[in-house]
Amino acid sequence: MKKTISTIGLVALTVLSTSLAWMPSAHYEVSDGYAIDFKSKDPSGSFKTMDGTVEFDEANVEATQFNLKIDVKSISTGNGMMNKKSQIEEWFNAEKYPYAKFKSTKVTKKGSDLSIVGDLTIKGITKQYTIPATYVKSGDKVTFKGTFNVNRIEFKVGHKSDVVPDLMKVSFQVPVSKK
Amino acid sequence: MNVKLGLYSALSACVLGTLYTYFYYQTLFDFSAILPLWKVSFGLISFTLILFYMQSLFCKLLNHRAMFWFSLSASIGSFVSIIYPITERVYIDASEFYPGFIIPLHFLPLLMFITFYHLFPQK
Repeated sequence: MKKTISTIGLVALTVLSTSLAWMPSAHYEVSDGYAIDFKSKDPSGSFKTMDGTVEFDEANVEATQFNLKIDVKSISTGNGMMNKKSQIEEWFNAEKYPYAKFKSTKVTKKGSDLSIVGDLTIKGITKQYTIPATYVKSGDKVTFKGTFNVNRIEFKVGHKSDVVPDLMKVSFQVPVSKK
Repeated sequence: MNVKLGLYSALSACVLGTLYTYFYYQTLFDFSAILPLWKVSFGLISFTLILFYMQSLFCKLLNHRAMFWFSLSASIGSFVSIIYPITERVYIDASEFYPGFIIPLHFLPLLMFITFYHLFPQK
């Protein structure tokens, strides 16, 4: 009798621990189909490579955490010479700072609109930014979209110039999938 | 089945693995965003108990050298399982440390099971 109870207990422990170990988490990773575009009078373009994780729970959206990084070498302005020039020390200094990073610190929700406060790091300089965004959830996929302005001078990306404006309008579409 | 063998080996793998993970997260790098501590704990219990059932099955099916065939299969299984963390893309800083962190955990269930097997041999 005692042995039967112990065996049942062990089987129950197996079922419990296995189901907990494989329980789906709120962990999402950036999936294909993302777009990071920037626009100004001149230049405009996009970054083609990004990675990152998002901790997202629809029942508690304000606990969402973003941890994203963009490969600055993947810049595409439609002009090969300009792409190359953007990597030099005066601009992104891609050899020393290969990634632009964003790590959220606070997310607030109003309806389906999010306000994402976080640390944006470009060229080793970190500034706090508040990024407005919206999200759409479809199955195991969530897509975040938004637009915000980045002042390149704050990050010492290039110098002040009459040709290249200080403000770059950045629009993003980041689909993430549950892992 | 020697229930004590399953229970002791699973709990010891859980305790050792949880401590290892806790100190790794505290001192080297925190991977809790992709692998929370509680998942490590329950995962180790689960895998050790699966090994326990597997070994019981080997003992039942094979009269001759059951423990050898079980150990060989489980060793190969543990070894093959490290392919996943090596090839998995981890989108966080210090991702290069992730395989080094996770690989010892893949061998812990078998290690603890074989350790306690000598204390509570299956009949």
